[in-house]
Amino acid sequence: MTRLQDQNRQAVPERQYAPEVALLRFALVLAGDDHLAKRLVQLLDQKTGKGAGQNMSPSAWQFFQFKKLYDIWMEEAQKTPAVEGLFAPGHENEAIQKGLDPSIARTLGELPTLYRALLLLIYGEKFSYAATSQLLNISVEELMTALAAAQRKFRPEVGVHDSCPAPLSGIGTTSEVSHDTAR
Amino acid sequence: MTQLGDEILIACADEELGPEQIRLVDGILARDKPTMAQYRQHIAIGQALSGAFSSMLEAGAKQLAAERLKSAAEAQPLPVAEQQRQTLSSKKNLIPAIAAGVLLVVFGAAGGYLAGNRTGRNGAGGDPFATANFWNREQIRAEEKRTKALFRAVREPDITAATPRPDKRSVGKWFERVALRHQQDVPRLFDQYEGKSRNPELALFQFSGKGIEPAMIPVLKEDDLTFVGASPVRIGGQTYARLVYRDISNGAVPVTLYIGKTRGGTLTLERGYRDNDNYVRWSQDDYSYMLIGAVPHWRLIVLSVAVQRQLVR
Repeated sequence: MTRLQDQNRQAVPERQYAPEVALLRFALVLAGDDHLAKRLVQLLDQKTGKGAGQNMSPSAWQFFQFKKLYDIWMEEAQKTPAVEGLFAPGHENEAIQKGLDPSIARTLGELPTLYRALLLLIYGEKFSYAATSQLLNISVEELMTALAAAQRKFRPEVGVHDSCPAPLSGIGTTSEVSHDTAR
Repeated sequence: MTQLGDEILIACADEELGPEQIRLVDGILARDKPTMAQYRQHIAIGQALSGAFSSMLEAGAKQLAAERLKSAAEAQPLPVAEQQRQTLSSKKNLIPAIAAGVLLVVFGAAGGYLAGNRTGRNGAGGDPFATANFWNREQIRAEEKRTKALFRAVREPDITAATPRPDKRSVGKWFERVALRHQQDVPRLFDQYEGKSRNPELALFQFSGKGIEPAMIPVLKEDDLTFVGASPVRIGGQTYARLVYRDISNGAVPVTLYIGKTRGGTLTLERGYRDNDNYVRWSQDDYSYMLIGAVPHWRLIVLSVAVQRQLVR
């Protein structure tokens, strides 16, 4: 692993929650509405059935459920009228209630569902590009283009942080220096 | 001049590039300050989004826990007498009559304890989970079926087929052990067992091998862990103490701790996966322990450390 990766990967263990909490979050990001999100998860339960996933590893089962949920949303979105929901202006309180910063919620609301989904899968679920592209039925190149477009929307929201670790400090020096900078 | 597109910089920030590409990007970033600023911006955006989604997850877990609390509180609990009758009748073929008699006493005490000591634990307002859901007859059956299947799957002689050593079986020894462990007087413990005073820190059990052994097992306390209820359960000819908790940090899913007598010796902590649940188990100081629930292994291991700290030592 390079120093660059070493520094980016802040070794802070993320707290883990029950799988259904993560599925509900994904559904909420897709649908933007609490009620609709719960309905999506219910539909997922109905379609997968009890006992499904017993022969899968936990990570394979997680991937399967996310993919299935996305596919269900793609079907449902055709017949469900658009809801103003969580990301719309004037719904700041709802966003706060859901743990979202209102400015981030507003920016997410300006993005197409696909962009929101890939941001969540990459930054929320920490899926790889390959897994995310497979899940969203797009190529890795399309994913990278969409990700760049989505991130551009966030530039005014998230400025350059002085406290952000310099990714290349220590380059060209000895490994001891790199240990020091990486703490 | 920027020589790299956003796509590559973002992929680099997200650790998606191969070593060769990273070396290339490193070289450009080292000499191109605007690109470096852009790269930092991508890292900042990634971190901000990770943080935002993480808070969303936390809020979602709390909401789910609150909803489950509400539905558990709304469920109609069975009367205590009915619970005893149903539980005893389901076990009558398994437990000798004398054990059933003692069990009734223990259940009376435990039922009283469960009904009477709900307040003052886990913050204001007592334990809102109550025992309604857990004591529901069908849920008990489902739980026992699941438990038996699990124990069949992980059965080992030292866990399920052990006979307690004779010198460890007497009631007096038991109280001495518990008293020593919790620095309490033996007579006071007897009083608690007789139901003269109820200590909310202890759950009452009896283990039946060839004889009857009452046990008082301290209620495990850990962050985000709420005690739901306790009951004995008969698996593979042996009685286990079963303590059910809900893990608030994991959407209030049940986490169950089983404690049973074993022949002695130490079994290193084992972890495994069965029926959508993770489990860890080990044996120590003549007892076997198992923690099981639909929570990550690391959480079970945290809890197992708490068990060892609070119950074993």
